[in-house]
This record gives sequence, C-alpha cells and structure tokens, in this order.
Amino acid sequence: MRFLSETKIDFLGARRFGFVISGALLLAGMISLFLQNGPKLGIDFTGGTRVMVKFDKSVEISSVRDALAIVEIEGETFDFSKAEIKLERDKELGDLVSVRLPKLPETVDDADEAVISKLFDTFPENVPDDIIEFKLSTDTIGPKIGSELRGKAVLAIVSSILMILIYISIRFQFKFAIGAIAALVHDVLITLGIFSIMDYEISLVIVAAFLTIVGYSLNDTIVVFDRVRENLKRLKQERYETIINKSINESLSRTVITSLTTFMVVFILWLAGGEVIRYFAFAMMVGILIGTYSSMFVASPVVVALHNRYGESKSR
Amino acid sequence: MISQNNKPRIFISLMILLIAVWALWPSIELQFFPPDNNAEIEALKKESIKLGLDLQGGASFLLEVEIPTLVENLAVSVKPKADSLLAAIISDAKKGDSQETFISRFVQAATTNEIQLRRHFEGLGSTNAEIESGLNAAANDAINQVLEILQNRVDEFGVSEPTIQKQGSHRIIVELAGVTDTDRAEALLERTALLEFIYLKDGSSTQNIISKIDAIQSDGDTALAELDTVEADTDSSLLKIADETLLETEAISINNFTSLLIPTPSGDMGVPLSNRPRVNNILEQEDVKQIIQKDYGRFVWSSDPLKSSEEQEETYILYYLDADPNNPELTGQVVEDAVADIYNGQPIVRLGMNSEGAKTWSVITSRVGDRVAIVLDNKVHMAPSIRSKITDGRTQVEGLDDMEEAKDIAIVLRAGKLPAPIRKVYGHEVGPALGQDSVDKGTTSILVGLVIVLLFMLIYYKFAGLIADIALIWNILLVLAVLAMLDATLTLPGIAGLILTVGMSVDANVIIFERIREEMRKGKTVRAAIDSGYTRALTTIIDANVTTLLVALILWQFGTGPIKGFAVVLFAGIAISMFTAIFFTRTIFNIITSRKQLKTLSI
Repeated sequence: MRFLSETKIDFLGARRFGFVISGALLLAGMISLFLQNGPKLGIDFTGGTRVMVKFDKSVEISSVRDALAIVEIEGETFDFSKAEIKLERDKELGDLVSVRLPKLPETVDDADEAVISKLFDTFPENVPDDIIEFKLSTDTIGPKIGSELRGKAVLAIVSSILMILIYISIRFQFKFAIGAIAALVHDVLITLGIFSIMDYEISLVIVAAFLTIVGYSLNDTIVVFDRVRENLKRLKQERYETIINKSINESLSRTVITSLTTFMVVFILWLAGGEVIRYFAFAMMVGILIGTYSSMFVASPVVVALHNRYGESKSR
Repeated sequence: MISQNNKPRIFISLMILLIAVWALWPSIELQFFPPDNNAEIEALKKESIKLGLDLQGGASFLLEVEIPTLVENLAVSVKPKADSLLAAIISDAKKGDSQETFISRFVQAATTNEIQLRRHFEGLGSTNAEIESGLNAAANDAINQVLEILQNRVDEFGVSEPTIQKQGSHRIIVELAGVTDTDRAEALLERTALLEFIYLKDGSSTQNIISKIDAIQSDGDTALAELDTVEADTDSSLLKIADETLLETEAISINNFTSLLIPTPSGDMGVPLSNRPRVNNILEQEDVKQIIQKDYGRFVWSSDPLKSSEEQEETYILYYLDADPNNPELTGQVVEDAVADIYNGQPIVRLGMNSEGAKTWSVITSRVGDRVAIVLDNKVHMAPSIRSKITDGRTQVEGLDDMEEAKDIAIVLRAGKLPAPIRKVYGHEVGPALGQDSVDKGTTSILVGLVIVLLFMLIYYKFAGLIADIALIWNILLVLAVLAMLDATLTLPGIAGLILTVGMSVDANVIIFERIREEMRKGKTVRAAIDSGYTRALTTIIDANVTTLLVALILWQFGTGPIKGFAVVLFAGIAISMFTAIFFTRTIFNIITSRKQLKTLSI
C-alpha cells in the first residue's frame, strides 16, 4: 500500500501561504497572551486552596467529580470537575476526599465553603450527620513548582537550544541549525497561543507535553534536512530551491505516515481519555500537527532565506 | 557474509529480551498472578515498576514546622534570669492551640510581662512590634528552606516526582508515590540532621560535675518539687515509651546521681536503660541545669547501647561534652559530601568537608589525646580519642543500626540540616491525583491507540509492517524494563515520553522501509535494497535521534520532579528505539533474506 507516490508539490512556492498561516496563528496567540497577561497558569504554579472532607461511607471519585461540575458561589456557577480530586484513607479518620481548588478572582469568596456544602448535600447517605464533622480542613496551599525550578527551567531551555545549535551546525550547517530552532520556537509559541485562545490552563503535565512537542518538531525537521543534505551532495547542478523542494517531497511519505500514527495515539487519548487527560492530549495533537507543518513550511524556507541572503560563503 | 553475522546478533537480541523479561517479571507477576500473602505482594511491589502519584497515589504526610523551637533557637541567651523568663513565656505561648499565631501570642506575652525582646533578638529590630515582624519573616524563611531541603532529601531517597507543597503558613504537604516503607520515609523527612563536633570534658571535670549534682540530690526537697514539670527525653519513640511507662509504674525516688551510673570498660558513664528516665529527670531539674550551664557543659546520650551479652540490660553511655563557646565551632554545614559505606563490617557514613570546615577540623583535631564527640541530632554517634591532626577534612560517623540508616543519614547530611524541627501532623494513604476514573479511561485509550498503530503498520507495510510491530512492542517492553531497573516512577509526563518513543520507533522503521521501497523501485534486488536502505537510513536516524537525546539529557540534568521522569523515559525510549531500528529489525531482515533467495519483499 502507498499513500503518496512521487509527489511534486512546490512547497517553497507555497511558502508565502505558509508565512501567512504561521503569522496569523502567531499573531492571534500573541494577542491573546498579551490580553491575558501571559499564559494562564494552573494550580501547580499558582497554588490555591485545599479542602479536605471526611466521608462515613466511601464514594466514587467520578461521582465527586460530577457533583463538582456545577458549584454555585454567590449566583455564579463554577466547574471544579477538572480539579485535582483525590481519595485519601487515614487509619483513624477513615475515608477522606481532598480537592485542590484553583485561585479564583478576588471577588469570589468562600469557594471552599461552597464546595464543602455542595458535597455534603450531594451525598446525604455517605456523610456524617453534622457538616462540622464532615469538614476536616481548608487551607491555602503553595505552588508545586518553586521559583528555584523556574530558574532551572530557563537554564535548561537555553542550554538545550545551544546544544541543538552546536550539534546541527557540526552535522549540517549553521543555517540549518537556525532553521530547526526557528521551527521549534514557532511550534511551541503557536501551541502556547492556542492554549491561551482556548483558555486552557498550563499545568505541569502540559509542560511535559510541550517538551514532547519540542522533541517531535526537532525529529521531524532533521529527517527533512537529512534528505536535503544528501541531495545537496548528489545534485550539485540544481538550484538550491529545487533541491530543497525535491527533498521535502521525497521525505513526504515518511513524514505523513509517522505523523499519522503518532497522531492516532493522542487523538484517541483526546477522544476517550477522560476530561483530566484531555488537555494533555490536546497539546500533543496540536504539537504534532504544527510540528509536521513547520518542518515543511518554516524550517526549510528559513534555510533557503538564509542561503539566499548570505549565499554560500561557508561551504554548502 | 551477512548470514555469518547472524548468530551473534540473534544471541544478543535474545539476551536482551531475557534481561528485559527478568526485569519486568515482578511487575508481570504482580499484575497477573498476585501472591496471596501481603508480605510477598509488598516484596513484589518493591521490584516492579512504580506508578507515580498521578497514576497510583501513595503516601501523604502533613508536616508542621515547630515555630516555638525556631524562636528558641533564634533567641540569644543574655542572663540566666532573663533567659528563664523568656523560656517561661515561650512555653506559655506554646499552650495555645494554633501554631500559626504562636509568634504573635509570644510577642504579646512578652509585652505584657515587660520583657525587652531586643536583648534576645538582636538585629531583628528595637520595638517588640518590629521584632514580631522580624520573627515572622524568619519563620517564613525557615519554612521555605525546609521545603527546599525536604525536596532534596526526597529526591535522593529515590522517590521521584513527589509533591511538596506549603499548606497554610507553616505546614507542608509531602506526597510520595508508591512508598511502602512509610516509617523509613517518615524518619527521613522528620530528621533535623544537626551534626556537631564537640570535645568531651576530661575525666576530672566530669567527676567534678557529678559530685556537684550529687550534692544537689542529697538536698531532696527541691528535686521532688521540680519533678512534675519534667518531660521525658524524646530520643526515639521506643525510648520514650520505655521512659513513660517507667515513670508511671515505678514510684519515683530520687537516688544519688552516681548510683545510677555504672562505669563502662572505656571509662565512660554507662546508664542501664531502666535508670535512664531517672537520669533524665535529674538533668532536667532547674538547679542542675544551672550548674551544668555555668560549667559550659552538656550531657548527651549515645546513639546506641553498648554491645553486651544477651542477658545484660541494655546500657547507654552518657557523655559530658564541652560546650565552651570559645571552642572552635563545627557543624554539618561544612559537609560537602557524605557517603554510606561499610567499615570493619559496620555501616558508617564517610564525610568530606569544604576547605573552611577542613581548617576548623584540623584546629579541633590538633588537641591530640583529647576526645571529640560526633553528635547527630543530639545523639553521640562516636567519641574517639584524637590520635593525630586531620588536615584533609575527612571523618566518619559510626554507631548506625544498619546500611539503610547509613544511607538515609548520608542523604540528610548532603541535603543539609533543617532550620527548625518538624513534626508529623498525619500520614496516610492517598489515591491517584488524576483520579482512578481518568487513569482507567487513559489506559484503555492508549491501548486502543497502540492497537490501531500496530494494525496500520501491518496493513501499510504488510510483512515488513509485522517486523515493525514486533520492534515496537519490543521497544515498549525494553523501556519499561529500563524503568523497572532504574527504579524510576512512571507518571503521565512519562507516558508522554512513551508516546513520543512509540512515534520515534515507528518513525525509524518508516524511514528504513521507505528507503528500501525507493531502492527497490530503482530496480535493486531485495538483498541490495535492504542493505542500501539501512545504510542510507542510518545517518538520518542517528541525526534525528541524537538531537532529541541531547535535549533529554539536559532535561534530566536540570529538571526535578515530573520533568526529570519525562526525561528518563524519553532518553531510554530514544536510545532503545535507535538500537531496535538499527540492530534488531536488521537481524530479522537478515534471517529472512539469508534463508532463501528472495525475489520479492512484502513491504
């Protein structure tokens, strides 16, 4: 079976089209990020409130989640179903449920009390008679990620980019390194922008998904570059653009199949993985699509642009 | 040519498979043939792949930083009278129910009693209000420091991806994934890890203080009156229980101090376990405390009882240390590295100090012939005589129960001491953070996704697709085996790494297959197409994967918690998928093409 036989698509001719799409996505994302003062950080980063209640008879976590899907606080409705809800078991206290509530706008008071009474009312069979006994504690909690880790993250990003630059410069050429980094930054920024537009929160797990996108984007870009490198040696007479176009076309079949298979895994995870995992799968889905697109429409055009501007001063 | 290379290739592949199955066997056994008794299940759990807090849950501890002790530690002693007044209001303020308001209650009590706090807390301010905010800031700093130290300890303990969060103003939630030995984890978390190196007082000064204490004891009235307020020594829970029961059951009669002591072969003061509570009582009496303070002395128990025959009662040594403020001061802060080791068959911790510590240590050890005690968390672990000056800043801690304790002590010494003691509020089981519902749904969808990928490869590449499928399953198996061997924890971010691994594994095969197809289209024979397909794909696969490998390496280096776990999976996954694509599938192709002269290849 073969999906794509000997394609001759003019990818570089379509690069203006690519720039428009990338530009529009980047701009929309940046505007959204600007309007919302940066990415919407989840409770892992901001901290929040932890509510702990005691049940007499244990409850299903999914029914707790359902109960917290609609919580009314002063006439406003909130959805806490995607919060970190855990069943805990203490030798003395018995079955406990802890809920980590995100930071809410300052106008909203007593979200914890609202959650407690909602749970108390939803499970009349399972709770102690008195709400005082039901409510164990409610306390503010700090972020899971300290400032020290953020500093380390910056260091990790900077040194990763440096390593990539050095490796690709040695194995390929400097302009390819710039192309790969451009595609990578492009992919992460667009995914971040889409998250902002969708009003999704950034949690620790989403950070891991972003890192996966980085890995994917790099892999995809380099496979195309590898073809370019090979064809540059083979087809010395051809124009630079022609060689790059040919290389993208030759690796197209592979690119599509790889992306398709990886996409299938995360697509099903997105479809049926449950609401907590959905955001994680969404980030990966977007990342795979953008990562595939960028190796054709961002990384290679950047290399061509650098080549046209600075010529072949350094050996091809 | 190629067929000759096949045997070692097959052998290596089989060996790897064998190792992987061996590493995964406990997990498989636990999943599919769980043993009936709990002890065996626990043993299997230790050996099998650990799932993270998000997927499986673990143990949750709520710890409380003891603010009163922190305030006590911060206070500078001025005059005995002022000191005891301060101690009185601290213990008064402790009685309030919430630690959160301790500092304000304490300062209020000081104000009512007209105590000049600035004499005790120099540098924090001049008015009591300023000192209150200074103390609050110090408490806040201390808690943040505790957070960081606990993070380091837990990381080194080998529990990856813990949750460590501040709750309220002075409490800390620590959640550890799949911890089976909760007692050990608890001890590790709560240990203050204050390491001190202090001279022992010489024999005559020790004799001197004993007779002074004896003199007070013969004046029995004061002693009895003091008894109610005395608290038992809390060295270890076991001793505490022993102490308490003894206090309750035995009628307390104050003996002469000397009569409670028995000399040991080494010439130290031995105290049988049954005498220990009484010795503690005496040492806690106000007038005894005062004469000890005046003598710049300090009594500290040995960490372990003397080794003796079975029948004899356990005997602890009571050391009299020289707490003269003019002596060179050396604490665990100078420790640069600490490693658990075995010495003469006993577990020890070897210490290396930084240059500053090494300098002080050489000053201390220049008093050849004197004895120096190595005190950890107010217990003397050893008190050797100084034989010669030590200039390289190296020493060791002995008197440990077992290798596990040695390892844990090495961990806490490397991570540094806590600025204030912490206390457990509760410790219990906690369910998965994602919720069991999400974990179930997620597992099913990933399996479904995997099956679809396997089917797709089979349909698209036919027979070669089967090889790719075998490679993919083998890949996942190996990554999981590596996780089990590294004792790493699998979490949702780890699964993200696993999905990327699946992608890369499929990708490597796709790159090879597409190349082979290309070569075959050019009219090459099957064998030649496979050969050149592999050769050409090799550089592609290496370049594409090495870059990602580098990123994984950096994340491994810098990341903590979930990011580190992700990096481990990513690194193992990519390294293995490279190996699989280049070596393992090649072996299969070789076997096929060597058996018969293939005219066509199902690809």
